[in-house]
Amino acid sequence: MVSKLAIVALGLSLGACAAPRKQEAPRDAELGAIQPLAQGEQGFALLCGKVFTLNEADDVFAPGLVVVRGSKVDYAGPVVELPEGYELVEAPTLWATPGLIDLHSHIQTGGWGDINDMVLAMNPEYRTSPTIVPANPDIQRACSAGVTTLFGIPGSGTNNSGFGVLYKTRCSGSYEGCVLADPGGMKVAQAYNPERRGDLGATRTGMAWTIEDALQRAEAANAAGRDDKSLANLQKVVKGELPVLIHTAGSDAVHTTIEMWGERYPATKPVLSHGCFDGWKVAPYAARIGIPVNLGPRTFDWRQSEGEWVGTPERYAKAGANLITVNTDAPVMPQEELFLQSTMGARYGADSYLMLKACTVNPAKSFGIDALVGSLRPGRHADIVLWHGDPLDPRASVESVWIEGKLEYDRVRDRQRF
Amino acid sequence: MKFWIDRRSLSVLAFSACMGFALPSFGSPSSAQEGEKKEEEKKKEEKKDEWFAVLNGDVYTGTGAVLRGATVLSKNGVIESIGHDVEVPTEAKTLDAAGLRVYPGLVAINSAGLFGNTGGDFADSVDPYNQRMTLALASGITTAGQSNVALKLKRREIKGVVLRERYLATLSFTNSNPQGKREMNERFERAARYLREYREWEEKKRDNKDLKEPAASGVDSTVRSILEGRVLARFNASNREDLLEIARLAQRFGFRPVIDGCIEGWTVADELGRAGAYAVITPRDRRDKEEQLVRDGGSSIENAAILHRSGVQVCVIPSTTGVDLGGIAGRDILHLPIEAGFAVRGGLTDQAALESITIVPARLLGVSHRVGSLEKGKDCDLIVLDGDVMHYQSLVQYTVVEGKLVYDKSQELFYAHIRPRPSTQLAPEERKDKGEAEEPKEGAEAKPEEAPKEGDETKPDDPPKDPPKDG
Repeated sequence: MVSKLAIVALGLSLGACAAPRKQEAPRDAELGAIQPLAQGEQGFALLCGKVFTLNEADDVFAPGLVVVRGSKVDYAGPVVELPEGYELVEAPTLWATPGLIDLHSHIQTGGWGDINDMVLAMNPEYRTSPTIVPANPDIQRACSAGVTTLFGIPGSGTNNSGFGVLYKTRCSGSYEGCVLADPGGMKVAQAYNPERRGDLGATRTGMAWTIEDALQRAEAANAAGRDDKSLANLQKVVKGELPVLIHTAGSDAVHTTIEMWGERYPATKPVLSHGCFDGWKVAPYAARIGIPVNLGPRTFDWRQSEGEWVGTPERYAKAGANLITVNTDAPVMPQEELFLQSTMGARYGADSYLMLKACTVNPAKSFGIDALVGSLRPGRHADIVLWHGDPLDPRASVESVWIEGKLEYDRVRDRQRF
Repeated sequence: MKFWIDRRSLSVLAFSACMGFALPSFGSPSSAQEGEKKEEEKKKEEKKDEWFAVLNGDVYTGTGAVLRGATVLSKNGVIESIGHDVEVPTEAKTLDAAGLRVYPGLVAINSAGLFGNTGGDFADSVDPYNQRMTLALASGITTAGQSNVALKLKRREIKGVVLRERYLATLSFTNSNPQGKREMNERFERAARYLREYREWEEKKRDNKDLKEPAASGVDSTVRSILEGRVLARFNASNREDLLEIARLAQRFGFRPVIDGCIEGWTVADELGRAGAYAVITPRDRRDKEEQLVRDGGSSIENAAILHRSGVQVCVIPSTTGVDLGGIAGRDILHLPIEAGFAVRGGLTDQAALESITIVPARLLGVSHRVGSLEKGKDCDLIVLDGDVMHYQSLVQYTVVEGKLVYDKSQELFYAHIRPRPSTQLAPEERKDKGEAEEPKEGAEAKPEEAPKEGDETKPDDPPKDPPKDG
């Protein structure tokens, strides 16, 4: 299967994603060590033109080697000798990155339906998982653009329509085969959409209280040691056992979000999502509180009065915001264009390597799943993408995608999907 | 061709009147025009030629040639010469493009809102101070089509904005309207028959002067213009069956169709190629294949590449033809080269991708004799970038339209703060962004140093010297 890899140089501009740090002496803990294959065990190695490990040291190796044993990464580092039994895939012109991660996606249903139940303003008893259509065409296209992990969530028509599911974009297989965590986290819509709903009224004043009221009920249940089925997942959220993705935008709502989740409920693990329009004005506050920001699908703010093109990721980065990530809000933007959100962040002023982190290791860290996905480090899932050059360059197509060591997309085998 | 030359001399006249300098010897002015011409000549003596030169840039002419460190010299808005040993008159205004790349100004086949709130009568109602026009110039577009008119983005000028009108005639020829299709077929038959009879009559009347001219009544004038090659026929079609029918119609009557959409074009690329078709496509257009179909169908990212390989001339246009100021980047008219980049992703060559946003749309608008590539005698419309025009971090540094600098990144607020460039002779001062003086925090994730950008010439990384042995 892997021998079909076309290793043809495409005359691409092997551009921007340069290593921010130089190569240092290999450190076993970061890079891993290649283990000999046990009896019946499968393993392969990718010899690539460039390997972006996305590890803590931001190591980039050119050329580099990624070794996969079973479904996990064993080693990612400089080219070394391979033990016996490993299949070698030579791809000297291709670049390897971990699979991309989108924390704000609605394509699990294979269309627009089923994402918002619109019963009450807060429905924390709901889950997205019953709506997943595995390997639907959107998921397959996402996979063929290097997107391997998604947080599939309810819509933002109400303050809360339940809990999302973290799943892999496998092109084959069942629900069990693709799910990473269910529930993977909660989705809250704080402003800029759910205004029309809410039993306390249709304004942000009412919504802020609706959300807070639910949090207080969950806290009270925790304090009383009560086991309330309809509140069970929300109780985990207030204890910080499940992350929460908060749909919020504009400087007013972004401020409210940071204050509520970051300051008044410090035990929670909030991720601020969208943060667009003039939300960047609150970036210093987000940076001070250390709340992760998940930007997109709007990547710039047009300051009409100033006539200035403000790159949203650039402004958050400049303010020192922690853990910047990007999203597509698919199908608002096509899921396969997750990389383009990073591309546009880089076009409008942000550092290109930071933008690569924004769709790989940073979303994993934001949701506390970086021990599983988001980087090419020993022990992580073997979710690997081979690109014809810079992943952020729209001209660079994806050659192959492995999810947990299994080749899920191959440009030649499956015909180029994106 | 006569038609073109006439239009050309007309626009030169308009241009000359506006600039107040000479009329080059184009066309054959009638006696009525002679008085005017004398006046112009008088002005010529008074007014000097206007010279403009872009120096030391790597010039991508758009015809396939690349001249490193070359000069583009413009005289009165028209390219006088391009090369390495160009003598630049001392009075010429110059622009130093050392280390930068020079490309022809981009051409957008469709656009919306770039010329202000016009009612379609562009010559009288264009707003040359419109901010969206400036933004389009800042993204490299110097010529655009709107409402079937080819327009030049002439900032702060209204004369010479209209390059050509009604060069495309939109026709409907689809299987979903069998009646309309049959009628269109008949119109083509009638017009073709008329033209055949007319040519016969022209030959025979040499011997027989009394022979009656065939009647043109009932002949569709649009279809006739298409068959005479005076306008291009434009269709909006994406279904395979419709595309095949259009290809057949075009081959039967001998014209080259322009096909908008063309989503399933890749499944019938050979037929479209044989018909000499042009395709106006958005590479990211998405359409799922009908499940019950056994054959190929739906959209493909390889569409542009496959069409091009079959001889179809490909023109690229983004899905949004207006300027999107709502925050969604990468899908509107300001990201024309990004859209073309997606065609490259599907296998289109770099050169064909550049042509898809320059010379091909210029041909479709009927203005390729003036714009779309950097060649002697064409308008001096060019853009200067800090890298490959299709690289996502390249930004337009300067835009020149008809030999005049109309956009300078460092002098306008829009993009000046993004990767500011060192000053050049036309940009002596660097703009300080007020309120943005704060340095990024130490240890923050945003690293101030920008990754060095490499060009096309970068060789792929050297193959590993010591590859591991395959077990």
